[in-house]
Amino acid sequence: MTRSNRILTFLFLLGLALFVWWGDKHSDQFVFLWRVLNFGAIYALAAVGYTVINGITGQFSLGPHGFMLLGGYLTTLFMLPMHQKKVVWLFTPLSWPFNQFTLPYSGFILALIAGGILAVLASLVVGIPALRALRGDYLAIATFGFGEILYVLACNFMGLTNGAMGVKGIPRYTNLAWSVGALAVLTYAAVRLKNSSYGRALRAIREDELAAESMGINVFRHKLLAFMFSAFCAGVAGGLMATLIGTITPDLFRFFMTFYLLMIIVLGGLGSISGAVVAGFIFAAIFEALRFVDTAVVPGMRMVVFAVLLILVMLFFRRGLFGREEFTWDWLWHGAKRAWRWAWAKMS
Amino acid sequence: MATYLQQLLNGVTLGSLYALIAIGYTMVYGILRLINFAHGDVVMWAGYWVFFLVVLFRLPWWLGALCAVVLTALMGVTIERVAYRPLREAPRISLLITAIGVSFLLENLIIVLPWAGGRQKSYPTPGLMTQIYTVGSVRVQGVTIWVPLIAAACLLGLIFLVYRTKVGRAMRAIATDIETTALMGADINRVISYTFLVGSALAAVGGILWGCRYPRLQWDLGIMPGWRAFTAAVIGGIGNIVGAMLGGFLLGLAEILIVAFLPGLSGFRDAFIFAILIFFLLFRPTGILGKPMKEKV
Repeated sequence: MTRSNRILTFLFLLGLALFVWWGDKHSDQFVFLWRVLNFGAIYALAAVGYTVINGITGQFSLGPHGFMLLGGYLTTLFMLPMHQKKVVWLFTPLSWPFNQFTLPYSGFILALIAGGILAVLASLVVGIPALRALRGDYLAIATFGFGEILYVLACNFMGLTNGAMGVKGIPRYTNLAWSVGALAVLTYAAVRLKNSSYGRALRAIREDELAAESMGINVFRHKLLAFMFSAFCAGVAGGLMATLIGTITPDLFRFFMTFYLLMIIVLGGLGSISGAVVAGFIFAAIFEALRFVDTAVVPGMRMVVFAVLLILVMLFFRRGLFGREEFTWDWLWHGAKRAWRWAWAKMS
Repeated sequence: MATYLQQLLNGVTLGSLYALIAIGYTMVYGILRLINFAHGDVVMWAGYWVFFLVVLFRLPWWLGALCAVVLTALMGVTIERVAYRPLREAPRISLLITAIGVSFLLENLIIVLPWAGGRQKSYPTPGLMTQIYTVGSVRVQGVTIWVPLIAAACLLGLIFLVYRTKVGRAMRAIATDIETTALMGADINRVISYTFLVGSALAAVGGILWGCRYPRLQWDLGIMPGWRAFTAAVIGGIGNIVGAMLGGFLLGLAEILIVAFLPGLSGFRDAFIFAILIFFLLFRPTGILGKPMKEKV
């Protein structure tokens, strides 16, 4: 990284921080846009984790919705005010220890991290047997099944989740500072991971597992590491989503959530972290922009559009936006130069 | 005694439905190594075709059902042609992602279609299926007799097709080694189209009979039967046709017995299905009939 690039990065982060501060201050003037940006950041956050296991390590997981469910519910249980807990768990009393305490706003970050840690623990439960024995589509099915099991449990353990009726009145703490902040921190972590020796090992596993193993890479441990990282991202994203929407039900975290994330990482380019971030915001924008189709034309049309889009991207544009490249200043610089030369040649 | 017999018949009925659906999963997996996520939704579409043809176009039931089988089978072939064939050379995961896309497309098309929509529709059940037969102290509905009989006929026909005809031999050859089969002069694409045709037709029969057993149509109708049938295919050893039938019957019986005798657990039914699926994938990935596979480099 050259010095000018470092300055550019610093300026970019400064601009981002200013934008976030300004955006949160004036959120009541741009409610729609503010909401889209928050959703975009949350989707991007989950997608960054998802692309680490799916794109970079090449281990096809279909379970992030389960991890988001865990993060979302744990954060909710920590943050929901006492009086609201009494209102929501009217018929089945709320289980110990959550009926004893609630955290103030200052504990929000703890609740988010706890959600992430719970997701990591769950990822160990499924990952230790599954990543050791399974790969490819069998791994996909096992992780999918785990997510569905969590959904069924969430519907049935009334004392913790209030079942299918869900939880209402969650304090809406999420704003751009939280969502974009979490995205920035975890994206930084993902990039550092990708460029470290661990990241090289992960990519080696993606290209050829047997070759990687014979080069002395502990395949199972590296896969597990990537899986834990993706679960943490998903857990935090689930917590942020619960405190952004204010209401959660088990249905919020069903398989279609994984479908959205899959669309995002495929669109961004499987294996590209910057692609996941960019595509996360693009997805949230399209998602909200197409809301009128659902309300004005036919409900469900939006999902048809997304499904067709996913199939078309897979058939004709499998590289996605970024392929396996990452956004860097040099990349931008070279791209701009090439575009300039091309335009110059066209004109003369 | 009568209750036991009745529950046993219910289990066989459900099991034969699972067996019919599981065939499609297992044949496609055996040949393309693809978990066809959209298969359950093809089952759902078969039910809706009957609804469209019989309720909206006022065809007689048997003709509507027959046309529904044909239309669903063509649908399966079209899906393969449009969405899966261009990705034959691509990584298998790309194929799986596309299959997930197709599954979501099929589900949401039903929601979007003005004649179907997101709300429940009632399925036209013929009188033959709802008639009550009384044998001694056992009272059985028509479905519990006709569904296993029709399923058995279809499964026998399938076994004949796979083990006694030229196309069936080509299918088995492709499942063993696709490249060598191509070198031997078999038209791979045609055989794969036939596989989807047969698998989807059986899924259609399954879907139509499913409607007779549970006469409510909804867009998500195919998802859980699809997963249970897939689990059945895994239990029987995926790629193995007889295994899929066996797994289907086992699973159907187990499900009915659990619901009948341990009703407190029925809320967790889907969780059990996935737990069984994960258990088999982890500890016996080749199922109860499959042979262990060697890792190829």
